[in-house]
Amino acid sequence: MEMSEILVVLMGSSITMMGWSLIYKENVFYRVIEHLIIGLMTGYTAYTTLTILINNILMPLITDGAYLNIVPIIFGLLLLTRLSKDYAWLSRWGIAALGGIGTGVAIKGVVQAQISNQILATALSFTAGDGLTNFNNILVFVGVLTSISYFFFTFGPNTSTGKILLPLGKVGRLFLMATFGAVIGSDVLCNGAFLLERMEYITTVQYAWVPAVIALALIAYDVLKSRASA
Amino acid sequence: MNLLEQITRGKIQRKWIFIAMFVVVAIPYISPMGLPIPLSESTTNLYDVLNEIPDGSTVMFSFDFGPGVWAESGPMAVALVNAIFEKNLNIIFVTFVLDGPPMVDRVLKLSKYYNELEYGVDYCNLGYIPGFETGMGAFAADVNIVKVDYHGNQVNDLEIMDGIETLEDITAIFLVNSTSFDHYFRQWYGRGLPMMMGVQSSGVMLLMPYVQSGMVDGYLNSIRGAAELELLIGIPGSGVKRMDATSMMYVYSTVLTILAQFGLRRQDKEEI
Repeated sequence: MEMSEILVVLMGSSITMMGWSLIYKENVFYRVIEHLIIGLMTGYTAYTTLTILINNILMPLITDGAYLNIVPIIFGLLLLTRLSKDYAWLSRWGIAALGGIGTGVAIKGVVQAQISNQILATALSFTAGDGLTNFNNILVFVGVLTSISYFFFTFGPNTSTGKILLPLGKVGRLFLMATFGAVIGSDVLCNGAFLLERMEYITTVQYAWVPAVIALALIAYDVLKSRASA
Repeated sequence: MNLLEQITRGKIQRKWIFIAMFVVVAIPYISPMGLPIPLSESTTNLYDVLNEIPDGSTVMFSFDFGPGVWAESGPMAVALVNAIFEKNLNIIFVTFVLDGPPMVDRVLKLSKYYNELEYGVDYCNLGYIPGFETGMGAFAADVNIVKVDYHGNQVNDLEIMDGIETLEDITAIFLVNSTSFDHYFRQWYGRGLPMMMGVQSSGVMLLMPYVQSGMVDGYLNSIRGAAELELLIGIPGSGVKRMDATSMMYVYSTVLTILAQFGLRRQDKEEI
């Protein structure tokens, strides 16, 4: 391993330790990393955005005569008028264009992808498959129907329709809770994966363990120091 | 109050939970356990559909994740790229998140086939396309909205892009992402192209409605999915290496969840 590679490994591992140090307590090393990440992301975002703007919007306008590119440039510049109190109202044009185009593009695919196909996927046979498949299909149907009932607020609980919907909604709440539980559970496991990747780095890459030992020594020193002063 | 009492009463300090987690996760790396990795239906479906794509075809790979989620998305992306190149397919890489383009290069360097590939012929990296869903829609309608690739080359000069005008001109869509999935299906579904993806474990639940409705041809479920695909193509990588630690972490999380329930019940009783 060359010296430059060792330095990169030590730097990577040190940054990890500085980030993790928050688990022990709030400290200056963690703050440094926090600011470093924000600074890096801001710089990278500005650089990438400007490069794309120049390559794909400005250059075709100048060299290929793509005059229509003036329209997004104007709308983009209008967004910057928010910096002025007198002309901030002009930024609404840019926001309106963004919102309008975004909504229009999104709506185009909603019907097939998120409505008709989802309804078809719920309308399953209760008798065509084996016992487990049929049970699963019934579960999907009941789950969808009762979960939708939970969000039906049109009828009050004392109306005749409301009296039917209320118990259905209570069953739907169970399905919703099960779903949220699964989502939170998988979220926890997802976050755990970040730990796994770093642990792999520290335990398998040569010299990456050095900052970990230094961090542990610093924590031990701090614990002993605070006990002595107490 | 001893440690067990602290745990079951929910009084344990946070740092001890993390320290124990570090130890539990570190053990399999120091001494690998070789736990079995059974193949799931989602991964085998993806592998089967991938194998049905004719050799030499061009596919699109949307890299919609940044370095922040590399831990989960990286192994899936590497396994998918290896599987695609093993099948002798060409890849057009795109990304709709700002920090995605460098991930393409990082994944390619980790790919088994990196040294055998020629840029512009076997693959290209078109870089970041702004606008997210609007960008996806625009790119699907006209691939030529991207004039210059991530490395500064004119897209028209790339051999791989010959004859590619719209999304319909490619053979399949692959993606690894760290967001929700709705926009992909709104913009790209219904064009007759197989859609395969690598999904973070936190996103699997959000993908299920699309899997249930048959809109997904196959998907990798996080590290486990990556490990399964690595085994299927015979190129073990980070996925396989991390599976022992992943299993240990799952067990640890489950034990903590059960213990926390005891703690909460005790707290409830004490409050009553």
